[in-house]
Amino acid sequence: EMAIRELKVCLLGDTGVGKSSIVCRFVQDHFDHNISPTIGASFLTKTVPCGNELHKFLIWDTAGQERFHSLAPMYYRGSAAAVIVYDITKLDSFQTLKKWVKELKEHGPEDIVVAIAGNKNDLGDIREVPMKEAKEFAESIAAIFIETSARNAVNVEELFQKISRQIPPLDPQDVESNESFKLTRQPPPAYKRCC
Amino acid sequence: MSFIKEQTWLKAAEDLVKTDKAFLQYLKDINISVLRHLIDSDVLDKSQIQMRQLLQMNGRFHALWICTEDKCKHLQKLMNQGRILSSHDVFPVSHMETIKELYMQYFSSFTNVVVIGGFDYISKKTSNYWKENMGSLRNFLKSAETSESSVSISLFRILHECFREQINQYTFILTLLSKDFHQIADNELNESLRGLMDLKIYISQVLDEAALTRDLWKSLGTKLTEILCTPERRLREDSKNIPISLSERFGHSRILLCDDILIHIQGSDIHCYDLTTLWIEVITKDNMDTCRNILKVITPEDQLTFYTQQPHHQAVWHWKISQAIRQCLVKSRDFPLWGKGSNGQSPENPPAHRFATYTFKNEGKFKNAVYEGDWNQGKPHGKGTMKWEDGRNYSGDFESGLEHGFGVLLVRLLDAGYDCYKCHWSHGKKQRYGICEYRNKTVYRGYFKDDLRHGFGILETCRGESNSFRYVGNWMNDKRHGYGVMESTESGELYIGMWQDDQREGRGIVITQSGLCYEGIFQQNKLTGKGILLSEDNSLYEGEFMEDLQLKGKGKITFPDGISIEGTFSNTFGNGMQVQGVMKTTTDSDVADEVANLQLGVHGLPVLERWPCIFDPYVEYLHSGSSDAMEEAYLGFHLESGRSLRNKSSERLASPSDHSCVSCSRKPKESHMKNSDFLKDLRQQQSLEQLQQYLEKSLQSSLHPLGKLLQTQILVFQVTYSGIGANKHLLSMAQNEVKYYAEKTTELIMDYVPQLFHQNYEYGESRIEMNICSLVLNMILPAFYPELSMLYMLYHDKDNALYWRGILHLDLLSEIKLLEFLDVQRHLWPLKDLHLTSNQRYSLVHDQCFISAIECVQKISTTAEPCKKLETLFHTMGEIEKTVSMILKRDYKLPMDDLLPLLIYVVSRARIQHLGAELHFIRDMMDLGLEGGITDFLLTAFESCYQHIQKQEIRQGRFMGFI
Repeated sequence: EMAIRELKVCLLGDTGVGKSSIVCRFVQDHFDHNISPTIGASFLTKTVPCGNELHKFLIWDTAGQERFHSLAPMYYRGSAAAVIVYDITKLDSFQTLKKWVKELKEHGPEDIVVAIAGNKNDLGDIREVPMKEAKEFAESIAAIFIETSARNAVNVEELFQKISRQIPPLDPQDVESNESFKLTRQPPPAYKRCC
Repeated sequence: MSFIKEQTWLKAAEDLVKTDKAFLQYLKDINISVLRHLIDSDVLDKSQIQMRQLLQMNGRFHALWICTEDKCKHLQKLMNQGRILSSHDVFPVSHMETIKELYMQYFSSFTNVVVIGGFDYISKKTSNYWKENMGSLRNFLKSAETSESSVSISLFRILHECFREQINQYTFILTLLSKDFHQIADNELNESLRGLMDLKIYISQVLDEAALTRDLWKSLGTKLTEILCTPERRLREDSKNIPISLSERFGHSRILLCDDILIHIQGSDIHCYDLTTLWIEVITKDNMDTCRNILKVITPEDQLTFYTQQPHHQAVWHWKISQAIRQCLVKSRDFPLWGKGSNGQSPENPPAHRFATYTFKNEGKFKNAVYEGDWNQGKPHGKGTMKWEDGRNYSGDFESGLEHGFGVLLVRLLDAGYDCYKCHWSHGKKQRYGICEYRNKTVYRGYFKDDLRHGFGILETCRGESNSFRYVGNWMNDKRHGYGVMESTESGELYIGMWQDDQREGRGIVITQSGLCYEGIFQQNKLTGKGILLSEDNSLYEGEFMEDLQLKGKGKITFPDGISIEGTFSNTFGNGMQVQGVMKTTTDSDVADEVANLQLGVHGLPVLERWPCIFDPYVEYLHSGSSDAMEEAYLGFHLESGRSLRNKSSERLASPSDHSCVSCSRKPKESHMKNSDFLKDLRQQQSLEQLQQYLEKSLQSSLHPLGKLLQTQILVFQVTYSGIGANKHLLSMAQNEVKYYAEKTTELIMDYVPQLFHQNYEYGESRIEMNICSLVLNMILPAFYPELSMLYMLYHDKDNALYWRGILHLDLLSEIKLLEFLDVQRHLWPLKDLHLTSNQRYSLVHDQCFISAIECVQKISTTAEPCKKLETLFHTMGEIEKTVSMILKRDYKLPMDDLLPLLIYVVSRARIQHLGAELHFIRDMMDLGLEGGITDFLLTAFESCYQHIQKQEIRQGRFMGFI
């Protein structure tokens, strides 16, 4: 039996760029819905094999509206990976993406795997964001880059495979401590701060 | 035949009447010539014992007389009416019983006079009279030889011989009668006849005994006689008659067995042993060469070993002592012969277990104390009462001579006050649970060890006392020691912390009525050295203390506005501080938040060291075999209320302080479970689900050990965290404590979860324990909810105020405006008709949208169980999704872009008062599963709503453009 590793993945990006479409597409061909409950299209899970491990993605959607931007830290804390989605037909969405990258650098979890997904790649004719520019940006920040089409199911699996591969394998010691972490969990901090 | 019979009966009746008449005449003469004279004589002092006995005898003489007269007249009347038809008419058995009773009474009185030398005394005192009237005495004595006898002997004979003669007469007449009818069995007649025979034997026996006893007193000398002689006492055996000795050398001591005591005389020393508290047994002792039997006599304070020269001597003594004890215990002598019970059967040996009264004499715990109660083999054993000379009084269970079991001890003190202990005892000492009501109007309820308060206990003032206080915590050697909580109205303070020798010593926290808190190390009741002080307005002093609130030495004070002063302090807090140091200002609001949310007691008062004492008796109880009988001793504290220690025997216990540790709202439902079934039942649980059901029931039951344990946990929790203790700086302590209760309870349960359970379960043991622990936590949380939720509210007061302002402002928006303001996508608006123009359609939106979701989320405050709260949140999500699907007329999985605005809408309309406290409560108290999981997401979603509503733009109403 392979060890199941649960990985929290956070989805960031403007409204309408197709964050949840990508995830729905990713999860759609999957048969363990009955095992793992979901909350609408906002919280979904999917398990994929990776090497000798199984990666169970716990995918957290976020609200893309500008006004909810400040709530994002509550969602991305503790994430193993963040998928930042933009719409290749909307330059604005790419600008927002840059903002997210900056914020994650500053406030996000250490060692978070960042993946940049340029969605709606099926609408290449009205493209506003050149692939080269996006790719170069991704390289500059050592992020995964891929253009996807949720509608045509292009590169969706690949996106998550890439993330899987970037996740460093667990130390055997960590596996053990993982087992008992709940018993020792939540030592209440002496100084509680309101969040 | 019948005629002949009647003739014979008539003849017997005539004889009886005749002899009775003669007897009555005789009695009359004695009365006039002898008794009346003696009674009326003025030379006799009626207060003298001899006269008192004579008067008693006189009374019984008359009773016998009157009765005989009545019977005689009655018989004559029957004869005259010709109604003598059977032996029953002649001499009924009932008549025999009356005769027996009257004669026995008379002879016991008569022999009393004999024993104390009454006739000698009387004849001496009245000798002058008799010198002149000797003739009248002589007339009563028929035989010639008596002419020489003294007045004393004459009186002795006159006053008893005629009675014996009368019995002989009756016997003679009835014997003739029975001979005539020997072929016909007449039970009644035979029985009467047997009764008369027995009476004759009895009379001669008591006369012999009296004579022996009188001779004994005469031979003993006045000093001993004065001590030992009483009218009723009779000698039963004498070591002069049958040798017996306390040593192997004979002749040095004298042993006398009387009907009530055993006397040992050696020289001028006399030891008397009351037969009611005397046990005897034969011990076979194997010596080097010989095998000899000895008699061991056990008394409460002595053990005597009796030696006899001959085996049959020993047997006689053993038998006589045993019979004397038995008769003494039943307070009636055998009839007609002692050693034979009233039914004629050979009586049993006296019981080892008996009820008796005894006054202790020897030095020791019970010196001069009077014990009344059950005994066994020379020791108080069973139920009894011990009364000491100094006014102490113990009433309760004894075992092997010591207080053991349950008992009430009253200790009277010089100032006429009482200390009343209602305790469990073990081998003479207060042990385990007990209640003590002290004369200074304080009450201790808790555990004892070797007479001293030890373990968990509560000391508090009675209700209605001014300057009341209550200490709840650990005790050692009668003093407060270890962790404890003290609330006092005098100082208006709550102290939570460590104690030693009845004083605050070690880490401690003080919270005052006004909300001022300080924490630090106490020495001899005073906070000294490093500590912190938090004022009500969130100012913080960290530094050196001298005495309680004297800031003295190096320290730093931080004010809520960001100003801090670091330097050397002097003077008392609040009294115009004097500081030499550096002032800094900072605009970092985090510093102020940190102070406001500072948690006390987290480092210095580890949860493991706080309340193990309430679990200890429980563990001991389970290890001791958890018998129902011992339940109260171990778990006395875990009773539903402290109202009475023992509800079964309420007569023993007045109610101690009227302290009920359970408030009505959380009084558990009664279910009838037997304590002893506890372990058996627990062991039978096969699955986690069954176990859960079982635990739910048992935690609810005030009879179940687990339920009782929970009640005590509630008690200590309330004492610490309600009232003054409801302080936001104690939230972490309270959280820890509840989790600790769950863990300890789980530990207890784990020991009894069957092995099978472990094997069947797919995960490892630690996983099961975790699961059970979160089960237990969830089940016990409602019990602590009132205090805990109050702490959460206080802790989140500030952000909740912001949230509430936001809610109030959002209230100003109409439904449409709010949906629009929150950027809810139009196609998700719950509209009746989508074909209307945008202007018309606003008015058609329902008064309130998403009602089902709103009502659902409101339920979060109606339950105390975090998992139920979480469930309502899940349902809320479900309701939103359902409503949306109805609007769109198809299934729609909401992405966050759509869900979050709707969720904020629902939350803002639900107007939950303390949403922040609720959400934090769930997060802190629930096992949410892995981080990042679905429950984590759900809670985060609601938390983000709470967060969003607090935002400035909302609470300052910067949405005017939407109105």
